[in-house]
Amino acid sequence: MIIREFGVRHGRKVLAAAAPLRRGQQQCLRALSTETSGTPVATADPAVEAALQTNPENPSPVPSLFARDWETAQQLRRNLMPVGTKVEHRYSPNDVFRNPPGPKDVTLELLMASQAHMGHHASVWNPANARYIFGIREGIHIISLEQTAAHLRRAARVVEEVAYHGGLILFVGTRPGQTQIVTQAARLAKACHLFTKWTPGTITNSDKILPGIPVEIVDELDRPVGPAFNQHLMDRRALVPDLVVCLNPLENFTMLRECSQANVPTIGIIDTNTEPTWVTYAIPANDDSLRCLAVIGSVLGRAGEQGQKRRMEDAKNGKVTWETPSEIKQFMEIQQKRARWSKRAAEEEAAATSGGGGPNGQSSTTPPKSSDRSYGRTPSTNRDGTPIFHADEALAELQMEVDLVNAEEDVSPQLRNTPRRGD
Amino acid sequence: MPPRIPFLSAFKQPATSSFFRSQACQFSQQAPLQASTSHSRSAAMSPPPPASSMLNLDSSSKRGGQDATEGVSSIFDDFRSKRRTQTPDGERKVVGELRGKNISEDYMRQMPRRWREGDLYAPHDLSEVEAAKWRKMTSVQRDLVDLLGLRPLDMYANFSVVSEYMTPHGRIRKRMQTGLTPKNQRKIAKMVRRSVALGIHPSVHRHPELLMRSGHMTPQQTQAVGKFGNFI
Amino acid sequence: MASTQRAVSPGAALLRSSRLFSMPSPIAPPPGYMSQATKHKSETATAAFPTHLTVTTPSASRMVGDWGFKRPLPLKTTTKSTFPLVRVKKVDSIEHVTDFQSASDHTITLEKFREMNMSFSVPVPKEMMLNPTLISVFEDGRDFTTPAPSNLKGAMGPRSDGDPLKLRWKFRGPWLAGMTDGEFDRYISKSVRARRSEFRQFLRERLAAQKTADRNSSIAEQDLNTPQTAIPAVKAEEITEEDLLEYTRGLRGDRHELFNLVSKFLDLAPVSNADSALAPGMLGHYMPDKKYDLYRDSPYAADGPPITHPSAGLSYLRTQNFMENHPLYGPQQKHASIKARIVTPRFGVTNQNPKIGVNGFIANIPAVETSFSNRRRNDSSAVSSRDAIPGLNDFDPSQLGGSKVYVQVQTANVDATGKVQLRLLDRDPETDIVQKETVGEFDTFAHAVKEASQPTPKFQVPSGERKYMPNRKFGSAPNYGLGGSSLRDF
Repeated sequence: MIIREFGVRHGRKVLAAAAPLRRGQQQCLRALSTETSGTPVATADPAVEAALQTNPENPSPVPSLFARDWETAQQLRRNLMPVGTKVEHRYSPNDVFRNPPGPKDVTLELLMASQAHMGHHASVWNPANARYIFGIREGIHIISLEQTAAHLRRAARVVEEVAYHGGLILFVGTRPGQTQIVTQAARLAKACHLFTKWTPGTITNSDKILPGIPVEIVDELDRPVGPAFNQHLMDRRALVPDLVVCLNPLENFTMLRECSQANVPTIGIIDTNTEPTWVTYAIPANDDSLRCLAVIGSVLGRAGEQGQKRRMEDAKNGKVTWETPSEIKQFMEIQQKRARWSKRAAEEEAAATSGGGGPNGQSSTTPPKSSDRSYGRTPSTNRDGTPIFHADEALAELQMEVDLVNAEEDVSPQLRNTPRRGD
Repeated sequence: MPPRIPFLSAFKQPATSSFFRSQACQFSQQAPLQASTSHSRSAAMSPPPPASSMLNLDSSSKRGGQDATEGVSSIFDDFRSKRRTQTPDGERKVVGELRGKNISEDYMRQMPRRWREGDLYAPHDLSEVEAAKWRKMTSVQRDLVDLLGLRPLDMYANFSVVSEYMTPHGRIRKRMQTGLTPKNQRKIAKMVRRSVALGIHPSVHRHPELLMRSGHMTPQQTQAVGKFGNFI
Repeated sequence: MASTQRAVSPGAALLRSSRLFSMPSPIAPPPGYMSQATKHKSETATAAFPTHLTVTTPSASRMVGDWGFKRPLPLKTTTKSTFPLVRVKKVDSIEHVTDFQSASDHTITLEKFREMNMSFSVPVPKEMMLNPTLISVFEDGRDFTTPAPSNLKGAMGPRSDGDPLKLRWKFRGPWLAGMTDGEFDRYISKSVRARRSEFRQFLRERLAAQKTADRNSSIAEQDLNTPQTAIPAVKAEEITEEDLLEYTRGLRGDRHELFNLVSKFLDLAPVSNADSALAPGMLGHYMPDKKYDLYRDSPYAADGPPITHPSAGLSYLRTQNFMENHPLYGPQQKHASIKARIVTPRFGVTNQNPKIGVNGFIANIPAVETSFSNRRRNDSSAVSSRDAIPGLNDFDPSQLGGSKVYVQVQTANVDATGKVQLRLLDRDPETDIVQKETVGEFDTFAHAVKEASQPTPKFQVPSGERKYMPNRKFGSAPNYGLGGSSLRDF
């Protein structure tokens, strides 16, 4: 009843301000007014009275008061909404996770509020960062906000384009507290993440570090293409990411080194004590504040999300933004050849059974390791007789899962791999 | 110990009945007293004294003590009242007081900080952790020679200064203990060496004049010595 | 002003208005802080005054360690403290850690001090201590920092009683009485020695002014008709070296005049001359027929001028002359008593004056004889002061949380080292009882009933509390129209 009292106090003015009173409002106004009730009746709830007066012929003894009250309350809320204090949105530390900012939201104010400008103590600086440094205050180097914003926008553009072209992105943040940031960015960008130690040699020695890592082949709409490529996948080496985003380059020098050896472009947050040449695309910012890292991570994640979205739209329109990897092309050619050969062999055998023995040379060309497998049943070749692999453009979107134990199921719908390690 | 009123003066004074009453009341708290029991009985019949009369007690007793003979008698009474504490009850009380005092001093020893007017304290400063820090002997952080503008080389004859920078066994104290800058430490060391070389300061012990003055402070030879030459 | 204001980039403008840039740099620690030169000290003890800004953060940010600095502060310590108050000494250090500690000590102390409604007054000389006239440090005649040029000119001439210069609290020169020998030597060699020629010029001007005055007076004596304005004043350039030498020699004999000149030249803080050779009684030995300009009126001569504003920013009240109202007893004659802690009792390991902690500030007991003092009174019937305040003489281990006493604070002032000195008054039992009853530590009614029900009233109330006395100064319910003739009615 607090609402009604409030309405009695304030509602009349508001309702009077509304030019044409609708029927519901009139009724509401009457219910609110103290004058219409006249002498106070003992049981006089205005709503009850109104219900009885509007429906005098209704024999139902129990009118639906709840619904009526609710409607009245809703009406009041609609009318009284502009009255009173406006509750403004206040900052909350979880905002960056509830509503992650994208590349369009990058402003100097946001960066400054998230402490992106605070570098390290002035005596531990790396002089290569001189061009990013604005000055010294409170004993620390202050990073220029303009530099941070420009480099962050450029890095967001890189992430977006890599995602658009179907590249494999890896977000790395191995300090405590960066787990949520990294997983959120990876979820947005449909990418991979790493928040534990980088096993040295994962790229340069992947045959030993990641033997038999489960991978999967999907098409341009990210649908799995089925068991047609199982033979290829069995021989396949582990994948190398196409872009690595590193939140703490200082602790991940080994990984960055491996990336540079494998020609993998890297994006890194470079504080004033970090060597900026370790990464391909530097973002000069504070790498200690989790708030700053969360903003940068979510901006890059949003950029990746936009790239993926654009890619999917183009794929629906029949435009494929990437090329089939050469190994898969090669594999598909061999498969087509084999299919043709086996077809001819079958025909010759049929002819031989009808006419005589077939030529033995054909069976010797078939590789012995694939003899137990019938590739004629692959859906790609069976859909129609024509070699449709080129039209299909099966994507070797092979996901490398570095740490499957901790990965969430919905990080990427493409991750359907089984845990590599026994634990 | 509750305040006492001289026994004889209580009778000599032109006191009101309330005075006798309160006097008797006080005696009854401590020990059964022979002489005043009759007075207490007679006083018990009187109405309770108003607060103002109790407050006036000070002035009335002051009036009584002005006469010279009464002054002499009060000295005598003081002596007598002291003898009264020699009763077994009084002895027990004295022993209890002394024990309480010892306990208090033991507690006070756990709070070594000497507060000065205007110091600030927060709850942390009253804690055990802080007390332990104030009890510990640390190295001096500021150079006293510079602070006081001393000229050490001119002070070789001042044996109290020389002793300050020597251990009880005649060694020059090291810089960690003196807190001096390297420059001043060299000067002080030269001062000590010069003083010993001139024969005006013993090289193996403290100066006898200082030893004589701080005789009661001299610790046992078997007492352990701490890091800074302090006695634990 | 548009020309002086340089155009800056938007990021720079933003940074200038940021909170990190608006942090004031820390002020110097207390001067003459000799505890570093002693063997017994604690680095973590609460300093006499805060030197760093106190920083706080909203609770949601505090839970994730976000205090607006380079890195999140460790949650283990910062989330467990009662008040989210932190002082940051280094935003980042070589060791890659943020150097911070809790700042609740000074911040809460300030809050507690504000609750006392205390006003700061100009220090009272010792001889006036018994019945002091308290002057607020915010009075117009007292609260000015730099001497105006007009004031300085006035100070050069003959002294007038309305000379405000002696009342100010800020001086460019040091307070000589508070310097150690080493500091004095350094001051002489670093600051004073380089200004010799300047001082000679100062003396020339002084001598020129003196000569002008002498000539004017002699002419006026000889010829009354000559107007003084017609005679040109002696200029400083006209003073010859011989004159100056002569004048300097004269000054060497007149130490007081020399000290006055030097202290005016260096703008030294006034020094109390009560015990020195410059004491008023001793002056006749030097110059029998000379009028001396003494700095005796400065309230800061005895203990040195404060290093901050004499209110230290702790309180901005001008006076305490207001009445507190009690809901039952009406307007109170005195302010509510403050519950204070007996930090150091009188007889401990080292016998010294007891120290009372009032809202975080250590205060001495009153200098005059009060219920705090140790002496027995001549009258033997009164409650001995030794037992009047439990825990004041000996540490009382039975008191949980330490011994407390209710005190009345008269005034506060800031001394030369920036410490706050509270001057306590004697206790007022009735005010104490009123305050105790307000905070629920004492039940007047129950006490009265207990008193009335006892067949023989006690002579003394144990533990130093006064009896309930209904006909005392503070008001009662019938007096204020609350009705009823006894306490039972309400």
